[in-house]
Formats: sequence, C-alpha cells, structure tokens
Amino acid sequence: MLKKMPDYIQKVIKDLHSESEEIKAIKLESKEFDEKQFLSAELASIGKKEFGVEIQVFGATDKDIYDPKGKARHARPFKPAILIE
Amino acid sequence: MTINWNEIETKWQSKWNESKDFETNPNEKPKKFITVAYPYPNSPQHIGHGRTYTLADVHARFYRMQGYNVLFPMGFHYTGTPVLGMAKRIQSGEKEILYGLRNIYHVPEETIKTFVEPINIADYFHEEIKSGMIEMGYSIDWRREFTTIVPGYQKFIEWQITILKENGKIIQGSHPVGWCPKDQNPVSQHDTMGDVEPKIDDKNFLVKFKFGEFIFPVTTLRPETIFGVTNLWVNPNVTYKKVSVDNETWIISEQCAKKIEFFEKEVKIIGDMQGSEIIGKYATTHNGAEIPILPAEFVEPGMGTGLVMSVPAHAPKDYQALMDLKAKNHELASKIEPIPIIVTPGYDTYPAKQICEKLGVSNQTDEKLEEATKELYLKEFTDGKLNEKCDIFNNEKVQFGRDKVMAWLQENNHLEKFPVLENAPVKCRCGTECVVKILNNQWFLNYGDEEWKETARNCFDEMNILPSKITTEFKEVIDWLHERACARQQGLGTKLPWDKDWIVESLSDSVIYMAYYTMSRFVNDGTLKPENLTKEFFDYVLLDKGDITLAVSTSKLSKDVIGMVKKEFLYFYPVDSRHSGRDLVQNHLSFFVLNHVAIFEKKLWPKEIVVNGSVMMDGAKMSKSMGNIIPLRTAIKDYGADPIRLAIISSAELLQDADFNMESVSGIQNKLEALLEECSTLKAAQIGDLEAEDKWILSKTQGMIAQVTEAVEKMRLREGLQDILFSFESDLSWYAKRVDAKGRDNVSGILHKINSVRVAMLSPFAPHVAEEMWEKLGYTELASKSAWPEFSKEDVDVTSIQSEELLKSTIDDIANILKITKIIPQKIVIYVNSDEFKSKVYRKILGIMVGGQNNMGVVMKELIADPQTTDAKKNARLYPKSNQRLAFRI
Ligand SMILES: [Zn+2]
Repeated sequence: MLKKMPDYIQKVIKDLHSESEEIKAIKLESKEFDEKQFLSAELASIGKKEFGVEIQVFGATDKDIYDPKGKARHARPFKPAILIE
Repeated sequence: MTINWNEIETKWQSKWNESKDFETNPNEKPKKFITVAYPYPNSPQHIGHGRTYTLADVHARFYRMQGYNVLFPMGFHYTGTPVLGMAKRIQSGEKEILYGLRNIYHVPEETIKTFVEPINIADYFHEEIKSGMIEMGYSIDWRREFTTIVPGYQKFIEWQITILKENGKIIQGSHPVGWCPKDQNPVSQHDTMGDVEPKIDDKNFLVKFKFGEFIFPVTTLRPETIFGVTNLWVNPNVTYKKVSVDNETWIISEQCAKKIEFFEKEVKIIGDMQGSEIIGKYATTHNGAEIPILPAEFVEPGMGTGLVMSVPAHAPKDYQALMDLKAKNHELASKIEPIPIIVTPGYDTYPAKQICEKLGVSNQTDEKLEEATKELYLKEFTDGKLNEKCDIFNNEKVQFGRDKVMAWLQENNHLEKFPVLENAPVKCRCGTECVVKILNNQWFLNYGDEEWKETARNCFDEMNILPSKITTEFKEVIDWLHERACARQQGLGTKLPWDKDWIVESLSDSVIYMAYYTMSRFVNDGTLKPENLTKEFFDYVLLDKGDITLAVSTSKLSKDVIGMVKKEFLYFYPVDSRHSGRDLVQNHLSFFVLNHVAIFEKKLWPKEIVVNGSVMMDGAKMSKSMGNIIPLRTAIKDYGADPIRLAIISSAELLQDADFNMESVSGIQNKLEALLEECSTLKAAQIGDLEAEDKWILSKTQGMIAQVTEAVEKMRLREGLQDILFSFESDLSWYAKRVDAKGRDNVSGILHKINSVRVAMLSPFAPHVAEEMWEKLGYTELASKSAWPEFSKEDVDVTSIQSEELLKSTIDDIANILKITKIIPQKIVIYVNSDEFKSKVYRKILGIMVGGQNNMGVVMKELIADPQTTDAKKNARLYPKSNQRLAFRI
C-alpha cells in the first residue's frame, strides 16, 4: 500500500487539478461523507436509466467483495474504481 | 410558444406607467441616482445609441429590486452646433443625409421640409428618441425631462458659469483652439466629422534664426537643444515664401504661412525664395554664432515652418543626414562636428551616433530612425542633464531645464509658441479642414490649472470606475488637458451672463446638469418659475451658501418651497453612477468630474463612472455611409425590445465594442420563448422532503444567485445574463435526468421556486417578457417590483454539491469506458475507497491545492512537513527524478 503512495499522490493531484476552484473549495469546506452509502442509494436509478443494467457498489475493503480483476485497490476518494463485464 | 413582442411590451409598459414605479421622489429608503449622458437630438437613434441607455437601465432596475429608491432621469441636449450643422447639411441638400432620412428612417417628406429650421430638427428627433426609449422599456422618470434651451435650464447654466468665474476657473486670455476657418468658430468633438476631438500639442515651439534682414524660424519640441545646433536643413526643391509677419520678414513654407494667419498675426506673403538659393549660406543663432545651411530632402514643407535645425549630437535623424552628406564628401558638411550638450547615464559623449550604430541605421530614410529618436528623446528627458555648453543652465536636469531655456529664449524674442494639431487632419461638420487658432481675449475654462487637476485626480482616486482598467485613460486626459474655449458665437444655448455675444458651448453646459434633474420636476409642474431661479436661490440650495432669507427675498419663493427643493437635491445627490460611451472619456466624463470638484463640496462629488464600448454591425462600425444602420425603433418593431436589449448586452462585455448581428437576436427570441413556455407549466406547490438531487439543485441555484449578483454589481452584464439563461441549463438538465430516472412527479414546487429566481434576475435585462413569465408563474405583483433574489448561505448544502459531483463523474467515467471499449455491459461494479489513510492524504492534498497550487514538488514538501502524512515521504524519494518533473507540469 505505502509503496504505491507517490503514484497515488500524483493521481490525486491530477484528479484535483481537473476540478474547478469552486468545487475544490466546497470539498474542503464540507465534511467528509460516506461515498459508499451515497452511491448505493443514488447510483441505481440513474445508472439503470443510462446504461440499462444494474450497478453494484462495494467498499474497497468489504469482506464479501466481488472483485475478480483486483480493481478495488485502485479506488481513490471521489474516484471509484469501475469493473464492467 | 411564439411571442408577439410588441403586444406584451405595450401591455407591461402601460402597467408600469399606471403604477408610476419609475417616478421617484425622496423617501425613507436609501437612494441610487443613475444618470446617462443625455442624447443630442440632431439625428435619429440607431441600435448603437441604445447600448449605453440599456446598460444604465439594467443598472437602475437592478438597484430598484435591491430595495433602493432609484432615480433614472433623462434630458435632451439641444445646445451647440450639431443641430445647426445638421440643418446646414439638409439645406445644402447633402445626398447621404437626405437618403438616410427618407429611406432608412422614413421621415415624412413634409417633415423634412421643416428641417431648414434647426429647432424643428431638434424637436422632431427629440420625440423620436424619447419614443424609442419608452419602447425599449427604459425605467425613466419622465416628469423630470427637459431640453437644454428651456428658460429654467438656462438659469441653471448662467449660475454654473458665474460660479466657475467667481472661483477663478474661467479666465480670459489667448490660447490655442481647434478652429473652423469657414464657420469662424472653435470646434470640439461635437462639431467634427466622425466626432473626433481636435488634440492640440502646445509644447511645440518656434525658434528664430537670423538670415540677413530675414528671420529663419524653425519648430522644435526640445528648445534646450538650441545650444547644440550645428546647422539648418533646407529642402532644395521647395519654393519658400518671404512673409511679412507683424514687423518682421520670415522665410517659411507656404503651408506654414497659412497656419500662422490663425495665430493673431499680421501675415502677408511678399515674395519667393528657392530652397536651392539659400543652401551653402550662413544663418545666425541666438548667441551670434554663424551656422551653415545644408540641403536635406527629408524636410517637408508641411511640417512646422519647412526649415529644420540640426542637433547631430542628440537627434538621430540629424546625425544620419550629416553622415550621409559627409559620405558624399560635401564640403561644408565635412567640417561639421556634433556638439554634445546633454549627459545621460548609459550613453557616451555622442548619444545619437551611439544609438544609430546600435540599431544599425543605414541612411536618413531608414525606418529605424523613428525608434532611435523616440528612445533617445525619452531617455534624455527623464535622465539627462545639460552640460557646460548650456551656459547658465549647466547641470540642470533636462526635464526642468527645458522650461527654463524656453522662458529665457522667449524673453529675448528668440522663441514663440507654435501649437499644432496632433491628430490632423480633423474636418469640421461643414467639410472644412480644421486649423489651430490662437484665440485672443476669449473665455476659457482653465483646465490647465495644476491645482484644479490635482483635486480632480483625488476625486478619480476615490471613485469607482468600471471597468477599472479605464482609470489610466482618465489620468492621461487630466494630465493632457489645457485651457478650453467655453463659449461660441453660433448655435443654440445659454448666453454668457457677462458677455452676451457669446453662448456657452455644448461640452461646458452639460457637466453638472444632473443637479438640475433634482429640481426639474418642480419647474415642469410650475412650482418653480424661471424667474424664481436666482443666484441666491441656487447658492442656498446647491452650495448651502448664504441664508434662506436672502434666497426667499430674491426668488420670491416661500421658505417651504425652497426647503423642499433643497431637501430633494440633498437626498438624490451625489450621482451614484454615470454611464457613458468610451468616446466621452476624453471630454465629457473628464469635464463632469472637473466641474463637480470645482463647484461642489466633496460629499457631493460623483461616486462612480461606467464606460462602455461602441456597437459594431457584423464586425463593421455602424455608419450611414455603409448602409448598415438599423434604426432602433425599426428594430424594436421587427424583433421586440427585449431580444434587442439582450442581443446588445450579450454581444460584448462592458468595454469591448459590441458586434451586433441578427442571428443572435433570433437565438435569444427562441430562448425566451422556451422559458416562457416552461413558466406557464409550473405552479407554486408545497416542497416536501428533499432528496439528494433537490438539495443539490437548490444549492446550485444559490450559487447562481451569488454569481449573477456579483456580475451585475460589477456591470459584467454579459456574464450575468449568460449565467441566468445558459450556464444554468446544464444543471437543470442533469436534475431533470435524475428526477426522471427516479420516476418522481413531485418536483413542480422546486422547479417553480428555481424559475422564480431566474425570472426575477432576468427582469432588469428583459423587463417585459420577465413580467409575462412572472405572471405565468402565478405572481400578482410586478416582477420589476419584486425583491432581487438574495444569496442565502443556509440554503447551500455543500455536501450535496460534492456528492452529486461524485455521482456525475462516476456516470461520466462509466460512459467513457463503454465508449472506448465498445462493451455491451452485462454488469457494472463500483468500488469505493475505504482506506482512511488515502482519505487523509487526499484531504491534505486538497488543502494544499485550493487556491491554485499544482506543483507536485510543493505539494510533496507540505505533505512531508505534516506528521500525519510523513509516511508518504520515504516512497517519494524512490520516485525517479524525470517522472517527478513530468508530474510538475500536470
Ligand atoms: Zn465648419
């Protein structure tokens, strides 16, 4: 995990660089929120509408995780990892 | 939904009229006094004229909705020569003008016949322009309307001009002015073709050399270089004139003889002298030195006197001309050596030689000489010192020495002023080319007075100027301004109280008239009669000078009436915002400030100036000759006032020239029609429990309110309008998608609330259609009377904004993967970060990067400095250097 850190930092900088100052300021100002809980509640309806399939949401360290391609470790805050089959 | 624009415009204009909302009297609310330069009714109004008024009207309507008691009045400027000039052009049957009146503006033939009388022109276009303003929906208090030739206004101008004279701002003297030789009248921007202000350079001098019984005068900007003169230049191909000037005989070019006729001199041409005859002879300098006269073809007869003095040590052109002659082994030239008289750090003994060699100047026609001259003149002026050759001026800095040398030469009759027209040629409206005339014993506003300038600079420093980058232009104008003729012998207007042969000119009788708006309604309703408006009355009301009993006894008005007028003036003054086009920066707007500071006490000085660019039509300047003029009233009839207002606003930010085109008008019409359609489907409804997307769209609405409010405050109207009409659309369509995906049907209340905000904010921009939308949304009060939406921080749910961003970007990421891989998905799985250390590092980086820090090295350094994240450090060192550098450029 730690060995991956410089790579991770570089990617986070890249993520944040592409965001507007306004959004960055809002993120800093607001409390952290539970991404898993939010996406579990909100992604299903719009995802189904947009892509026509069910979308499953896991926390990267969930015990019962379905992760055949080992994608979960690439998840970053505000940048979930995605598996499409 | 197709809108009948003119129908809804008439409908709402009559409602505003009934509700008298724009008739403003003092009350307990805070006020805003918005004014705009009043129009000249000498020609019809086209779309270009509409820009300043539209911007000012949006400003006024915005403040009104913000709860201010806003006065936005209008008058009509009849004074001066523009109306007269138009009458003359019509009388002489000028085709272009008559064509425009008949075929573009459709003025009835019977009416055109009456235009031989200037006043008929003014009256006709006054009504035309006023009707156009009403049709555009401008929120003007028409009770206060006046023209500048009504007796009440003339009383006010008489008072103004008397006060200026008492305060020493009006002087009698001899000064150069722009002049039309045909009309025998001074000219300013109002009198010239293309509205150009004649710019006079009065730092140009004429130095006299002797040539037997004749005088050889030459012009120069640098009188101090007289000490370094080595020779004169004469053009061998020019026939010079012997001219009797007062009691001397000058040798000058014919063109120069014509110019000095206007310098209050007795001028008579008495003979010829060929340039070639003079060459090789000697002239005598101010201190008796004999210098040779050499040939130079670069000497133009139209420049100055047609003779030039040569200072080869300091003037690159003179140096190069001398070198060219030496190269041809010219006998007299080969004996001449430059005489250095200025020492400048960074330059050696012969600065002109040095700079010519540095820039690689090849001969006297080389274009690089312009650059060399400019650079050296400036450097020597700012850093140079005169040397021992300059006699009693030894060791003086050039910037102070110049004036001293000039005064000394003038005392000894070796120098005179030779003012020139910097931006020649300037043509009078009558078609004659303007000249510089020295007016003797004339009335001037002493704008050259350094103390007056300084007070004006103080006012500019404290006022708000939009856009702020125009501030330096005002500073330059104040620096440059000098005495200005303030009276004319022709045209309509007010006579000088102490010299009835003269009429106050039109850029001098339009400088503090905003004060007159505060009392004009009392003049118009008969409470104040012209004969009541005595000097003592104005002194007491406007300057708080003298006492009320004096005002009562001279004006024959009651204490109550005088008190009421004074109260109204003090309520509305000072001017909170003055709007005008950029072309008035160099005169009207600067005079506006200069005259306010000369007459009123500081608390009554103007608070703000807003300057806008002009209007182009499909990329070209709108002008009659190009046939691309669109009369404002025609445009309103064809496209509707609101679409025209929005097209004007959205075509450019404040100072840019606006490029108007008809495609943008129809795009705007469609947009407004769609919004009206939407408003008619929405009903106010109870808003229940908020879902995630509701919290988000309501927060975004607050963001829009904050942005639009700030943009309008700064008069960035294009940006504000863009935010209301277009930028917010993408948020709304995302919201619609979310609501639709959930199959919700309980969002009408939310959409009603959001569109109420948009329509209210649209109201200052497109006031008629906004009222229509407002009515459809179910409101019974007028939109123009509703409150401007106020940003409320409590209504911003910041978490909802970041969570919705996460959702949107996740959907985008999935869509992108599908697009690239072309997979038909069976199943989509999302893995959300749950590593707390990663989150901690993320927030730390976020904290560093807010404010624009994108440098990976800096981010790293700060991460290391924080004990919570130091673990990242060891690993960073392992990272190859080249890759790190790559990362810096992200
Ligand atoms: Zn003229």
